[in-house]
Amino acid sequence: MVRPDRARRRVPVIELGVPGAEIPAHLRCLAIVPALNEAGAVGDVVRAILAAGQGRVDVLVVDDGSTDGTAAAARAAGARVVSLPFNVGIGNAVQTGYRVARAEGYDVAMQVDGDGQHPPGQMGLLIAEVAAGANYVVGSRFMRDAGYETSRTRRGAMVFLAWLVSAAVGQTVTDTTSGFRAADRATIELFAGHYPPDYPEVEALVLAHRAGLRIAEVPVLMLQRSTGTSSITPLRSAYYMVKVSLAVIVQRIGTAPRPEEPE
Amino acid sequence: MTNRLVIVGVVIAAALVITLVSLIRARRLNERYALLWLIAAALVIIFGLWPAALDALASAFGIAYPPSALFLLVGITLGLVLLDTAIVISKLVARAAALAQHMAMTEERVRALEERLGPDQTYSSAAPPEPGSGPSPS
Repeated sequence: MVRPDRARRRVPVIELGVPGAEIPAHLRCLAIVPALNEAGAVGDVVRAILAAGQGRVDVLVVDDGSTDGTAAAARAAGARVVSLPFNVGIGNAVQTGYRVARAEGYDVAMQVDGDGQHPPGQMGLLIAEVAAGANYVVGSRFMRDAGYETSRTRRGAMVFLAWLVSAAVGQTVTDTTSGFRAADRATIELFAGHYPPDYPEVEALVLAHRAGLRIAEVPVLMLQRSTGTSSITPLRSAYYMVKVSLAVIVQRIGTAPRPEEPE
Repeated sequence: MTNRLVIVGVVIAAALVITLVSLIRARRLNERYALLWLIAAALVIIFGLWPAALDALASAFGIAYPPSALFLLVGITLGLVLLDTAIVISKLVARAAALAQHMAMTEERVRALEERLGPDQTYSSAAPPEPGSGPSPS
């Protein structure tokens, strides 16, 4: 997933045969689901998260200016919905979720894509890692060979990003572009104040590291996007690589983020 | 020839200053963003009235051909104006996104509160109030 294009992916929600860990009962969890024109998929995603959450996970769909009834579909499926008045980009949309999590004192915030690519049944694996003391947990597709296949170019790009981020944060990170993540209260606090506005996944790792947070990865199985629905072009991919690499370097050498402007 | 050049310079500078002042007066241009443009106008006036200053500047910078100094100056000024604009735009984009987030979150809270109140007591159904029946919603 070199350039996640959330508007065009259509993947059915199917639970893969991996037992997810129990979700710890003492933690209040909020699943943040960013969605842009996903009216056809978001309802299933919401229902799958609620089912997998065993009544311990609230679902917040952040509707990033959809025009296709995404908000109504998500609400009908049982999610709370925050509807942004216009498209603000994936990073700002996800940050809205972190702001809600901070305002309402959630212990864990999960990020789950609204297109069904992330298996909600494996949320427990990430949340268990948070319960074990990690601040920011990434569900990695590459920690064990699960047959996640992609083109050689994209694979090369992902290896490069993994190398760059691993060097920047001083620990091995295998999957820097995975958007399936869990954040504890310290990370929620950080991201509510500062979160990269576009292409956030890679940069957020370095941001968390700079804030002194402990990053962990757990292996997950993810569904592959079916071919033919991608709108990735070589030019966009190149822009993505340059932008993200630059962001990692700037994040690494830049000054610490300034305190949030008063609201 | 030189007199004609001075006249052209002064006319251009005067036009720039008049445009800036009228924009500021009409409140279509914030003084903060007009400042760099006013500096640019001042430079045009200086070199328009006193072309010898350009020669002095060129020799001070070690530039053999004085008009090159003018191009350098114009380039620097326009660059600064554009950089300033980019900084302002970056700030505005961040603020617009923050406002959108804040508005969306507030809207969701209002919706939740209205649902808790029940269908008959939403804000919109409460308006317009009967005279003397309670505090005005505004």
